[in-house]
Amino acid sequence: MGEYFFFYKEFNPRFKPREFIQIRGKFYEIKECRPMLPWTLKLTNITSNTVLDDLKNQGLKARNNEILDMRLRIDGPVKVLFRIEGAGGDVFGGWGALERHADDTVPDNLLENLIMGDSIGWLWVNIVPLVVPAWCRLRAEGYVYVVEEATVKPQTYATPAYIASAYTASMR
Amino acid sequence: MVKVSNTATLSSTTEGDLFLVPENYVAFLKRLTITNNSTTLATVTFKAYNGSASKIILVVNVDTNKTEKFREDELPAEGIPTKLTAITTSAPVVISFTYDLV
Repeated sequence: MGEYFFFYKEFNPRFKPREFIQIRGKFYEIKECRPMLPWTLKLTNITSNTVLDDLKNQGLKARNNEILDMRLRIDGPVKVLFRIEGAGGDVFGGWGALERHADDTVPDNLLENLIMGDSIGWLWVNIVPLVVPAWCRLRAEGYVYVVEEATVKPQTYATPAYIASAYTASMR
Repeated sequence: MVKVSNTATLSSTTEGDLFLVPENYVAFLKRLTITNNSTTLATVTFKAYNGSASKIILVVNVDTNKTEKFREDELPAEGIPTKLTAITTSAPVVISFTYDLV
């Protein structure tokens, strides 16, 4: 655990089957939960701001009936600006874009994001080198939820968390 | 984390690779032992590569038939993302090293 000790929170699945989540005004029922295969990206010889447009083109994306709940870790002498793209309104990621800077001192429980399919919640990234040349490695670990749209509004449902939330995700 | 140890012999004064870092790993140097088997003083220069860019991270002078040892806290702590190479001013020089692939 190392430097993560004080801020570390064990990463357990947020949802169980037969629970509900609201995304972009629609309600989805969780059908299945399984661990995600870790995703890693390493960049070397970064000499200027590098935009990855975006992480779904680097392989960090979910299928259309799946939600990816993952935590990111940053390694290397860089500062990373995340922007959640494909945000779906006031429930998922806020209106417009939400931007946050992070580096490798930010614990991974503050760098959590949900991605649904290839259009909701994926990440635009700008890597700012702190030394030149810099290197950077991004890692994502988490869970995959297979979902199905619910036909009626459930009595209880969750709203998803995302990177360094401007407002905290809450269970209603 | 993967721990790796190896020994390399620099038999000429050209730059030689000590190790290449595989795809998504980053290497951290943990131990280094340099033995000068040549007949003159050897100045060994270690270069860390970041993609195609290199940076000198350590320069060591080793007397004839002497050995210099470096522990973890005496070595550069930064990560090596691509490869580590060494150049010596006189050969042969034997370099033993341990590194962590994280």
